[in-house]
Amino acid sequence: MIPLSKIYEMLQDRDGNREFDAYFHDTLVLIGQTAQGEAYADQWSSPYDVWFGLFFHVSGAMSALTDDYFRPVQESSWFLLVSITGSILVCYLASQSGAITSMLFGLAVLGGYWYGCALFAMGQLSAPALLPMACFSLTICVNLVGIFFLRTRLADRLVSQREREIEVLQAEDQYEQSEGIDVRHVDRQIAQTAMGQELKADWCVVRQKIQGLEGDEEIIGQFGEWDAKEIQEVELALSKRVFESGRGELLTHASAEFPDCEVAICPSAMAVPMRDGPEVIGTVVIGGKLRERFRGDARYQEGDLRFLRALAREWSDRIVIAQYNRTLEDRVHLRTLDLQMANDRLSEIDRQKSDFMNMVAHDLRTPLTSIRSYAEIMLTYKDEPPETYEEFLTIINDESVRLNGLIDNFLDLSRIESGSFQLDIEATDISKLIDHAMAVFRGHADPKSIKLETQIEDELPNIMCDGDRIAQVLANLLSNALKFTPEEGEVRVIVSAIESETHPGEPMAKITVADTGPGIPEEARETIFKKFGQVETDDESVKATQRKGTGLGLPLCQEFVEKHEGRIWVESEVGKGSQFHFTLFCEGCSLFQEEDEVHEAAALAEARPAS
Amino acid sequence: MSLQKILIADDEVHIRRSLEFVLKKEGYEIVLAEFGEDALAKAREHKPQLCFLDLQMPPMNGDEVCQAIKQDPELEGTYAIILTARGQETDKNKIMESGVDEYMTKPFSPSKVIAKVQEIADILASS
Repeated sequence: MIPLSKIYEMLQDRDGNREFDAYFHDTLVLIGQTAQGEAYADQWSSPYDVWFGLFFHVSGAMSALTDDYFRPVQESSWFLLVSITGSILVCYLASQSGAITSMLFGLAVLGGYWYGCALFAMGQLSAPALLPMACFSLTICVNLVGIFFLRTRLADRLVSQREREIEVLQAEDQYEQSEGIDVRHVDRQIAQTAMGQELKADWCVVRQKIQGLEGDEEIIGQFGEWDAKEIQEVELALSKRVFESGRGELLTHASAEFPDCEVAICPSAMAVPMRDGPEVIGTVVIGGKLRERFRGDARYQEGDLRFLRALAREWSDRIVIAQYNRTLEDRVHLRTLDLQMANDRLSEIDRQKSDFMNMVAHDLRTPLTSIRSYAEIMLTYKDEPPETYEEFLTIINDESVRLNGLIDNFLDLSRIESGSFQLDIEATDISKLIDHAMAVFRGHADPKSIKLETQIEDELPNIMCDGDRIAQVLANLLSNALKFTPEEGEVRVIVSAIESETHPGEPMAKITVADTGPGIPEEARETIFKKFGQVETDDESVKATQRKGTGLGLPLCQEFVEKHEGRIWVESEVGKGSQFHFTLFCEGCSLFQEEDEVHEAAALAEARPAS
Repeated sequence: MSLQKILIADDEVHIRRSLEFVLKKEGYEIVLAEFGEDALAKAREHKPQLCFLDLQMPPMNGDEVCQAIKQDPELEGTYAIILTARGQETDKNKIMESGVDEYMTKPFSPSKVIAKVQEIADILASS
């Protein structure tokens, strides 16, 4: 079964016991396969083996104890001692290997074996004993033949399995070569060589240092049977050691240092660094040669380490090139993304600009349509009463004024955009501004029978504002309110004194323009103050609502109010109406104190030459 | 079927007035509407043969009104013209999807409106 020289060699070995176990395990597997065909090839043994062995053992023992021919044997305490000791020894070895069925089977076969040996030794072999002895001999012969063939076959099978894995790696490798050298490509090449004929590794793990992360290495490739916990432990420890020392590491007997890493899992392992100049950029850890254990060569030696080290130097160069390629690719990729984003931004601005132009065109065309229509009507219909002509001329006049106002709005907005817009702030009586606006808009409200009201708080201080701009804001809000309020509706302007939220204690005025129009849906409320270049939405419905709005009037109102450090917002309930509110600081607030003084100084300077 | 009643829906009072003036001169009966919902209600009430619908009449726009009219079996055969101050091709395609028959951009000339209405009256008369 086991050549004596081999046993001797194993006993010399420091961890020989474990190797002996592993060897014994393999043998048991093969015996099981001999007896059962290959049906149990993936198990250590089968229950049949146990019964098979026990049958011979018990029948042999029964013969020995009952047969007269074996009387001397029965009386020999030496035989019993050897038999029992041998059985216990085998039991122990098998139990160390962890398989109960193997242990029982080993006990049975070895019991019979010792028994036969004892018979020979005592010269008591006789005819009736031939039957059990023939059975033992047959079992042993079958086992030996089986071991001989199956061991070879099993070894060949492992080797061919590994070769297939390497073929797959090569095929993938060739596929990737067409895409240039990259890191994954290099780690495959490493695995091919490590697991190929020269080094015969069972597994191979390639690690690479992550840039900027000290002491943290990235696994870039894992090949073969690396996934056992014990192997991962060995791999990590070796890799760490190599990263620290920068030198190759050889573990001839893995289990000497890692007790959990049994021979049957990983007999031997080694690790080498990969370098970029003096810096360790990665490690290659390989282990195994498990498939070679049937040929008695499962250990890596110094020569193997030298070979691996030489290979690592070549791999290092490739990794460096691959990394460089990857960095370059990443840079190109990032740059492309940047350009893509810039391009998207430009297209978006272009689209917004086109929307803006569309809106401008719409706003300008509306009064122009009236002007043109009425002019043509007056040219076509010559026999109308003079009141009709007067009405039409008034419309043409009003619409021209409106057109002019729109153009002013665009110019103001453009000035604000370019930053050349200046306010001329002075203490202003808000009620005068409102009265003036009311006078203008009463003409619009009356034909629709809209009730136009003002409600101004008594003793309101003067407002710090640019009167022309705030008049524009009021006009915009009132024009919208009147436009959207149906006949018989109501538009109110309410002014009340409040305290600033952003500057506690400072007096402010809140001006509200409330209508009884259709109201503004919530999603549109957020966008009506936005203008070209500020709206960032992909929601088509929001865009549509926005386009339906009142052009640039509200964005301009917001710009004006915010330039006054005030705030403008809208409250609305669909079906009930909308309230546009804006706030302005009052005279005497600290915010405009300096400007007050400037104005007073300017007024004094003007007054002096006159006096 | 002959063209007798025309609905004019536009939120701009002056545009309503000018169209009303011109088309009344041609002898048509005119129904006016200021908002989209109003326009739809009046179309159902008066059953005009032709509707002028301004595109931008928030919250219910001309194309939505048009779609509702075209889907109403009681208003079958109603001719619809969308008026708009925006003249981009993409807008036009979208508006045409609402089933509108004609599309007129502002500013328009009253004489062209009369010619267009006459054309539609002929089509309706022959059908």
